[in-house]
Amino acid sequence: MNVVFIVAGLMAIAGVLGVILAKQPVYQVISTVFSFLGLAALYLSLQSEFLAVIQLIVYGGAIMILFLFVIALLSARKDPVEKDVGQLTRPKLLGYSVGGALLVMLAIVGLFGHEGRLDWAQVPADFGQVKAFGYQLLTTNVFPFEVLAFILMVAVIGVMILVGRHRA
Amino acid sequence: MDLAWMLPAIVVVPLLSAAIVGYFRNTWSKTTVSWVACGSVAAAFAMVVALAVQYWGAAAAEPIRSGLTSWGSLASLGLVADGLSLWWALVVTGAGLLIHIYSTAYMREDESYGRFMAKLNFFIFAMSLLVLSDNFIGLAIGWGCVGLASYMLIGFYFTKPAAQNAAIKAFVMNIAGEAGLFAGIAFIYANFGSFKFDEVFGAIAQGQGVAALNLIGILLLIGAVAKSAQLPLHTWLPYAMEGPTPVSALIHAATMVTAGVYLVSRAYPIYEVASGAAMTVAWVGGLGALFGALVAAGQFDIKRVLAFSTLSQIGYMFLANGLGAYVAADFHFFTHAFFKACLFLAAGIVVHHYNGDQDIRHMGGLWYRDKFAGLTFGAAALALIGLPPFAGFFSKDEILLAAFSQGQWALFTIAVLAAGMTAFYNVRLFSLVFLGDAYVAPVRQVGKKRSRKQAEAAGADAQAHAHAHETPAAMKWPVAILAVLSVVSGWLFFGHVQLTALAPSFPTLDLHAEAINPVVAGLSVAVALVGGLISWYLYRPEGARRAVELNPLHKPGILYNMFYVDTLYDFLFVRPAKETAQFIGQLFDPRGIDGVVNGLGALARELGGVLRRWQNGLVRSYALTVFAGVVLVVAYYVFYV
Amino acid sequence: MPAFSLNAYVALSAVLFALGGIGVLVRRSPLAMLMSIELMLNAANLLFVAFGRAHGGYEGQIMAFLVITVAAAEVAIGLALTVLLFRRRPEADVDQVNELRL
Repeated sequence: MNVVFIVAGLMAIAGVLGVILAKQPVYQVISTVFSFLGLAALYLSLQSEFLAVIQLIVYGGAIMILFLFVIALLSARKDPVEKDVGQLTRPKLLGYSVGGALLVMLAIVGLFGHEGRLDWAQVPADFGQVKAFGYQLLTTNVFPFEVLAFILMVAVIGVMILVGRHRA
Repeated sequence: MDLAWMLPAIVVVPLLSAAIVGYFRNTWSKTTVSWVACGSVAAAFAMVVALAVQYWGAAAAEPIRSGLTSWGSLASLGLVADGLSLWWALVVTGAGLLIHIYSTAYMREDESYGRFMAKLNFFIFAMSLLVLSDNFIGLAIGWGCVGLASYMLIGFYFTKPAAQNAAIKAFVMNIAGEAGLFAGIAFIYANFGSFKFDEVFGAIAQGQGVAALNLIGILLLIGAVAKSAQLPLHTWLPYAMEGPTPVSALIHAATMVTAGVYLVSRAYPIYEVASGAAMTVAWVGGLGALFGALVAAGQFDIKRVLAFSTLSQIGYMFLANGLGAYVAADFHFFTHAFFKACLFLAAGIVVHHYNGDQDIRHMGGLWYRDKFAGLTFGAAALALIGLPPFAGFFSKDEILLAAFSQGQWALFTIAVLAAGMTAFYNVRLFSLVFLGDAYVAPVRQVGKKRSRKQAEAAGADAQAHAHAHETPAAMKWPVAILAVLSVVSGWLFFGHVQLTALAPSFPTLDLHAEAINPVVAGLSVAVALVGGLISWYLYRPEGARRAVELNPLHKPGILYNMFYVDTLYDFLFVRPAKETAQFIGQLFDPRGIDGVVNGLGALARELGGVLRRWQNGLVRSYALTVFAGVVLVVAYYVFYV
Repeated sequence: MPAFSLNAYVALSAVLFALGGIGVLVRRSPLAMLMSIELMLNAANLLFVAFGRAHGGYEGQIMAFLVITVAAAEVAIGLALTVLLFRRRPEADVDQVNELRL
């Protein structure tokens, strides 16, 4: 299991780095999928099997396919805009420094936070499996579930309104 | 019947009328305005009469009381109708009514007629509040309000710079006096813990707080001196004549300027104990009486002569108050209100004849054109001089008698001399205005032919004016009533009547009617006759002095310049104040105030320029801000929690 | 039983989140920004799941499930906006979309 965590964590980090550094949109999508894979493995290591599957299907499948469709649709093969500095003065420098500061801060929290000292709880053998998860989702948490359905419907309608009709 | 409800009504009705007339001054016709304004004052007068009948008609004169407002335990404004306040309220509303009626004709041609009537109504409200209050707070409120009314009415012709300056001058000097009055009231509260007349005077009667009474008396006197235009705060009164003539009659002769007399009379327990303050009052009054009479003899403006005459007569009242003859002071106020108002209103008629020209050197011979004005003016002048059958004789005699019987020889001499001077300036005034030849304006000599033509034209003009000025009935009747009152009010109310009326307000004094002392009366009449005869010799139509003063090249002397007191004040106070204001205006205002304001503007602009760069519409810039904020929040939790 | 301590998961999540933030800040293509946001959401999800596991309850997983679904909706809307943006000008640059400042 040690190996799984290390490999999966490195995969996730490498995917994010790829998104930051890659020049072509397609490469970015691929490295994102890479990162999602790593995360799914991490979920597995946390005994969340259902969530790992959902991660692969929804993120790695549906959402990334959506990205690819958009890229294909717009033929935005190359990320074109990074050549000039843009409207911000020193955007990269500022972005890296602020992001780096955030990284340092959060890493300190993650490594030395009190909450992180928590020990893993004893859980039954079927923890995070489809049946147990589904039972929880559809009994205790059925209201958020219904709200989710509503949100998705709103999103669908919103997208149709935004791009469904061709406006000059 | 309980008439206590009338007390607040007397105060409120003129105030309401002032508000209504002020609001509708441009929409209502002048006739409607006249009826409402005069009607409210008439109602107030009627209510005062009703209260007076009830009060003096009852066997035991019990003061009628009514609350006005209640501001907690500190000061509940109450009104009271006792002898003193009814005595004053009668004159205020009565003379006020007559002068309102007079004004309906006198001011009718003015385009701001409604404004004038509203302000006049406001004055009646303020003065009623002043005299009817049963505590120092109400008195002070009325005191301030009459000052405001005076300011507004002196500056009624606000397009005239002279009127503006006069209004400011009057207001500033009154405020200076009010500082003294308020300080006095504060000391009263500090010493006696109350503002109510009854409680304060009751405490004094029991011998409390005697040590501070001299100070309180002097402080109150400062307020009274400023309001009543006594020495040395008198300089605003002659300039106050810039206001319309009815205002001069009502406010600056009959009622408001005598408020100081009322204050001293009302606060008599203080002055009974505080002998030093009382003597100061007497000396201020005595000197003022002589000063006013002297200066009046040197003036050329008809209303200024009367203004200094007012100063002099109020000096008599102060003298009486200072000598403890409060009844005499209030009686003199009573008669003075009538004959001085009559003089002013008659002077208004005179001034109308000369198209607003108030210079008595430009008058003369008016007797032959307007006998009515001459008769009323003459009667009131005789009352002012104090010849026996007329009102002034009785009241002035009481004052002289008080000085005589107390052995105050210096004050008595001053008062008698002032009586002589009074006769002197009255005869001069009457002779210059009504006797002799009509004044012919000098025509500039350009060429002989032309000058004769112009002279003829001017003569024709004068003829036309002579016929144009038929005095309206609304002006004649009040003057006539006041003239009759100045003849009869003296012996009608002398002695027993005034004592019965006023004695309940002076419970601690031993008052008894005194017969006319032949020595005092004879002396004062003799001096007055001598003064009048000298004046007649000098100013009769062919008199020597008259010719000198009518000469256009005549240079006025010290009397005309009011003993240079004004010049001195100008040098001491006005000019330094103006210089300071200029200095501040040039240095402090542009650098300091403007600097701060402009600096704030520049700061806001600079700050805005900086902040503006945050709102640039760039999503990444916003994201950067958000992330920086997150970093700070997390840093806070990492390092401090 | 996971082999690493909870701290390791929290730290990993923090790293992922901060890198995703850098991605949002330094890329000017709307697609790249959207992807970075997705990755930040995933970092948060990891935290939910890890803590849920540590406490032995299902709330963390349910929450992660909610986030995944909402992220799907968000991506749908975000991509629709990107499409609109590309329609207006072929070279999409978020820096040129500055009408937000009025």
